[in-house]
Amino acid sequence: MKSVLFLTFAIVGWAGQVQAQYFDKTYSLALDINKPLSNTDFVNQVSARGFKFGYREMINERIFGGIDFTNTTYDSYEPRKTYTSGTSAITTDLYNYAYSYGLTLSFDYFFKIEQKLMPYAGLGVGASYINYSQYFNVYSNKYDSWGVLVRPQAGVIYRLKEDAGWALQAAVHYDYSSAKSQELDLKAFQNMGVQVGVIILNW
Amino acid sequence: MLRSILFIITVGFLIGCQPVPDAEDLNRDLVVQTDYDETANFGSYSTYTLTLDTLGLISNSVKDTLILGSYARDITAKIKANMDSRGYTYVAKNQNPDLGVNAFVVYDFSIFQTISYPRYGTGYYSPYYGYYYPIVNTYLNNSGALILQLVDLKKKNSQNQFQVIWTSYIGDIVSSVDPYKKSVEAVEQAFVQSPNLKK
Repeated sequence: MKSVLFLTFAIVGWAGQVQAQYFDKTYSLALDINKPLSNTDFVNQVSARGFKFGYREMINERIFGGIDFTNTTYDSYEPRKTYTSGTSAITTDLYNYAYSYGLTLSFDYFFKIEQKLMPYAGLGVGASYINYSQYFNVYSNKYDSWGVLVRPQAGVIYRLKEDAGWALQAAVHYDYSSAKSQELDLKAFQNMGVQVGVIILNW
Repeated sequence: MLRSILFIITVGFLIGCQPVPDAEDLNRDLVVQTDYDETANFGSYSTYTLTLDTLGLISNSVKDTLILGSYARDITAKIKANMDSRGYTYVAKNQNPDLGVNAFVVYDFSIFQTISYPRYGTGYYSPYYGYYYPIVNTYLNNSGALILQLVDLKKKNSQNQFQVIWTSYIGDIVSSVDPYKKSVEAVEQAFVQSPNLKK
């Protein structure tokens, strides 16, 4: 999380030199806070260990298209207990992790443009990769899973000054990823998230 | 160009930050795994033998084949206490026991398997110490495990292999914050999670 904040400030500093009233390309970096909605037996904690990078180009006056890259790490802790399976039993505590990565082709529709406050709604569709890991003592089980990612999202961009080259961005999103794990009996992964960050306008 | 490079470096940096659990938390307790042969009738055995005060040692990096001292003494004492409490009677090796108890440490050895165990060990009685080598597959290097086995000394196949009817795997004793105490606790746990192991 500190890394995301540091890099956010670095990029804002860089973009502070840019003055633009109009923008046709944007780059964004945001802290992504997520809550898993499915597979909560495996990971159930709200995670602030996530980020989003976005890139957009103007398609027309109100529609921007581009890519989003996201990463979130979910985890949960299972206290020590005994698990039995057939003739076998194992006693351990478990640290469950889901390392989630997404790359989507995304489109946003802006309800207002070239103003201080610009609300938008969008949809991203792409690929999802989730590494489901269980750590216990020095041992671990790791399972990779790929799937389709669908992410509807809505947010606002807020420029502190109308001619600023950067702005604050906040968004909410819902993610559906078909990346499952047969080994761990995990279904499609779903989560809700809030993103807060900066967007560089016309970098 | 410079902006793109900065962007790529930033993405790469953040991707590289993959958090993992704290090692001290992970190593607080030992993993205890047990497995038994479902065809074995544990109530049919009466006597067992065990080399007290000594553990076997299998290692690529240490030449010794035995572990002596207080660690071995306390581990074997805990095994004996549990076997006795389950209704089995300790006898010397030359008294024709029904069961043999192997207790050994595998350390930095490349062919040890961690989860499931074969029904037969390619075992033999060492002239120095009575334990049987396990059949093993994979192993995490630089770690150590305490292995307990119950071997049916009445069943031997044509390859001179004795039937292993119960196995416990306890690890990792190398990275444990308190390997001595935790090993003894883990031996107790191995029996707790094996309720069918009784006369």
